[in-house]
Amino acid sequence: MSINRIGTALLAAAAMFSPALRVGAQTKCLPGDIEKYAAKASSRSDVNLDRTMLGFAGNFLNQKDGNEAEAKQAILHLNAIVVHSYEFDEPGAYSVADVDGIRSQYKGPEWSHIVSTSDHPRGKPAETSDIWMHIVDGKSTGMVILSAEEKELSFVCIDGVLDPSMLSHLSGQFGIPQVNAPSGNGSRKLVAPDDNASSGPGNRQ
Amino acid sequence: MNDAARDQRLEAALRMALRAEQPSDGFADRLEARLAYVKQQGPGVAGFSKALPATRMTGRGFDRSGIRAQLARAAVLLLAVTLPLGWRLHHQSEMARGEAAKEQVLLALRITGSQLRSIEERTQSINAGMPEGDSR
Repeated sequence: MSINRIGTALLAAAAMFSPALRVGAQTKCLPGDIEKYAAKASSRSDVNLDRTMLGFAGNFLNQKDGNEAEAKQAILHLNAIVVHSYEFDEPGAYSVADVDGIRSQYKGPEWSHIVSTSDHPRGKPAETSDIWMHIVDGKSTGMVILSAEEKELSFVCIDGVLDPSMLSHLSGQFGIPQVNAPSGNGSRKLVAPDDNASSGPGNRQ
Repeated sequence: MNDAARDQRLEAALRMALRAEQPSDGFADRLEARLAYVKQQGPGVAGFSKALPATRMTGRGFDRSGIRAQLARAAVLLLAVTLPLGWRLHHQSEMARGEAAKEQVLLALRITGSQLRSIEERTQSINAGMPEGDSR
């Protein structure tokens, strides 16, 4: 084997086994610079689990415990879960431009912007919520939630095949509202900010 | 006493101490007999190392196979002690990592749930303020 081939093989192996490269190359979770606000946060939650860690965690979820069994089922086909949730003592701790920067990353044809709310309390900056679904061949393969409130900023990304039954499995648990798995096109969307949403699976009854 | 005289005495003493001396009669025979005895008796013979009982004196010097055997035994003993301990420590570490990962998954799902609930409440309150049919 020539030196070049060995070098190529080593690079390929490095790319395969390096979590940073692997996640960076494949993940749909692009939280921008949101982590820089962690230092300002009075309360923070950061979760960054790739497929390996999800599989590893799955081994420790108790099949006999209702919640954990559902969670185990839910993460079965996921590639990554990334969560950054920050609470601040004072308003204006984060930049609206940064939030817009994150938002702008989910404008590709495969992203369906299924929920977008914007609330303007008097004398306060807008509070926004967004949910995007990543759709490939009619199947949802990812979900991103971005919520920006006066003193709170949250980014949630679930990368992987989202079985519609997953939400129905989890509904009523972990604080997830009761959701029925979509059945056909007859369901009603609460808010659909763009035309893409009409093809999205985020229908809720 | 001057220095020259002292040097001469020292030189004489050294010459006396370092002079060539013939071994006593039968020294070679006694040495050979001793070596033969040691070889026959094996390790631990008086006058030879007892600290390394497996070490044998041969005609060509010390036989190191005994030392190797002792080292191998020590290595096996060390492995027998450290492997279960290492495995246990590794297992405990993996358990801790797994539990931490599990907690992270549950936390992530809880946050996801709370965000979905929050957005649902917000959209419901917005839709509640809209005329029927305006919610898309």
